[in-house]
Amino acid sequence: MQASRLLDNHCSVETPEGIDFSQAMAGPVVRILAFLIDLGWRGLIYAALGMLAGFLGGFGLGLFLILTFLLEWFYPVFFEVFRQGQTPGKKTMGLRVVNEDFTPVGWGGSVIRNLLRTADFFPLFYVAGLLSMVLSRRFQRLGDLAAGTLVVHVDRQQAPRLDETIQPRMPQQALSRAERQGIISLTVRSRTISEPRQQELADLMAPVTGSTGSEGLARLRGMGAWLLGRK
Amino acid sequence: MNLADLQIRAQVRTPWQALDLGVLMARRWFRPLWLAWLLPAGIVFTLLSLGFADDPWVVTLVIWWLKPLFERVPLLLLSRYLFNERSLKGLTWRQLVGTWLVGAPGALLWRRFDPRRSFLQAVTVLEKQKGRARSSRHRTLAYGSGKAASWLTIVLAHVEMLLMLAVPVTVLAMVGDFLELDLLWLFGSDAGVLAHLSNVLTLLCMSLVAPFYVACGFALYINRRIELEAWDLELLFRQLAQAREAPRTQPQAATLAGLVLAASLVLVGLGTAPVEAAEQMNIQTSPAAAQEAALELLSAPPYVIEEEVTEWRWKESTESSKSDADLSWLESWLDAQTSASDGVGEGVFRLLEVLLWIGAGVLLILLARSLWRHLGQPASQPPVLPAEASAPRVLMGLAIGADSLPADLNRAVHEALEAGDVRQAMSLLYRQALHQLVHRHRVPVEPWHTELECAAAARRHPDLAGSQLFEDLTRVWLHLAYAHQLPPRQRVEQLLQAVQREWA
Repeated sequence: MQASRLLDNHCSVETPEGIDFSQAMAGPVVRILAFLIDLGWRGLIYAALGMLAGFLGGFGLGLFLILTFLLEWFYPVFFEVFRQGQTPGKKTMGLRVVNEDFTPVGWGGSVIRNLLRTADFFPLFYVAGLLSMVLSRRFQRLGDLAAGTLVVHVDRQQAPRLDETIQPRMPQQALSRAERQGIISLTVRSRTISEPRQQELADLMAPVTGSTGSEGLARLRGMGAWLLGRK
Repeated sequence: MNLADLQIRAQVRTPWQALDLGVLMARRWFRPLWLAWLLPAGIVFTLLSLGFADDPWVVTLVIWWLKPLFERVPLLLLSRYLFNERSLKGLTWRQLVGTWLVGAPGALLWRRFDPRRSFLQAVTVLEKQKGRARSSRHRTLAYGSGKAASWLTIVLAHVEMLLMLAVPVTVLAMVGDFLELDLLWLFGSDAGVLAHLSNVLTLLCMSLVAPFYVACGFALYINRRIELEAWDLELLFRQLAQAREAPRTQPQAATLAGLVLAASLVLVGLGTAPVEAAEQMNIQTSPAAAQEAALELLSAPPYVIEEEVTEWRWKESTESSKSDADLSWLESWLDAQTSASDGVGEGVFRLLEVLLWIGAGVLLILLARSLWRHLGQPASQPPVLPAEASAPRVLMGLAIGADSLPADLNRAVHEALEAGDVRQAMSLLYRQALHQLVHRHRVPVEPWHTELECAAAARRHPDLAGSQLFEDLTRVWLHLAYAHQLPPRQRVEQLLQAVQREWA
């Protein structure tokens, strides 16, 4: 019970096969920034259109109004459906719109969530949407709640950079998956964690390495390098 | 600080995700954090309002200026809640006042405009760092997270302003046009009761945003500490070490129990032991009991899902009738539009009509085209054999398409034999045989079949049932390919002749 009470910004979906998929939900601050970036892009387009329309006179004004309508309502829909749920702003902030079961968002979901922007906008500048985001369990604004969509962080897996001086060595006993992940994590993060702290951590793994202190740490890092494919 | 009591899932997050976690933290502990901000600020606010009754703007300015101090107690509370200490036990008044005073001049003067305030506040308030140590600590922590901290301040400052605007706008929207309010009177006056009211509103909005601001900054700070000090790894490694200890102690306990049991059996004597054993066997293997146990298992949660619904839901039927009602409403609205029939509306409807007709025409043309295509296909034409399309072109890594084989097999094999390349010669023969099998006799072979499966498929095929040739080829090829046993030259030539005879 205790474990489930831990605060976490991830939500997970279980498939019928019993596989858990987990994604980090995107909260208000990032989403506001993403929205502002999109607003900036739209503003640039409006400025360019306005200048063009100025040359065309009355017809230009009509065209401008039509394009404004389309841009205002379908700019996010277009990107969400055709660009894997990422408007330019969301892409910059590393966000993506998905359905509640993490499948890509389709026309229906995207259109609903964007039409309901009007509800989120009330009374001004998305205050209702902001409150809804802060209060709902998975940071959903009203449009998201209606359309059954989520905004999640895109996983950016970076290739681990390894210290070249680490001597890879084969683990002398079978390791569980959690152990392998932990050892790899320690090896990859060895630049950011202070040396004494790393030794302290390596001492905890003495049952695996069979030694303590700097020797234990060296062995642990060696195993990490070996697990990452250096032989 | 005991990491085992950590109330968040320890994990290195990106700065943006740390901010999200901060929102969750503020939400879980909102009431105490809010009160811890609002009570001191409220007291100061009241005193100031009494003192500066004629200059209300001073009150807001001073409260705003003192924000870093008001944020300190919520920060202290958060740091304790994070490790599941729900009370301020062990904190003396001296320490609490000290929390307000430590580094206060800096926080109020030269660091007041640092946009990373909520992120770095913890270094002063919780770590109690001073001077050069503090600035070096700031540098270490801010690496990679400083940007997010600045944006946090910028965004939340605007959110605060939005809230202040939103409240009067909501009120005006609710009041509607019935009252003719002079908006200038609402926003413009800077003295009197209204200005003080607006100050109260400002204070409330600040107090609502403050817990989120403090918690988000603190979450960024904790995220950096998790990253730099590997809290997640410590928790994980402790757990793993425990898991490694556990099985080592368990077998010992088991063997000990076994020894005790054996001894007791010896002491009790052999007379009773078999009976007990038989009874135990009975219990375990009786089919009725097993069935009962299975049924009991099946009636428990993972197999039976009971759902308790405590909310009101629309019945299906009413929903459909509702949508009907919606349609009729739309219809009447359309009617009203047409009957109004000013020039613009008429034009739009005519345009729509034309578009609909064009759409219907296009649909008809498409339908006719597909019908024509369907009928135009001559019935006598033999259907394309599916085997042709799906026959594999590569089997066991060997290309067996017609284009990959030489036109003159005889010459190619002899050339290979002259060159001493028996392997190449056998490969040509075997591939030719496979090609004939797949493309001529249409033996059902799949791309993933092995040599022996191909041979078995050939054996089952009526055309090739009597022939021993493919079996021989397969055997020789297997010996050559996997055991590197070269067949003698005559054998290859013999096989070549047989192949040419079979598939002339």
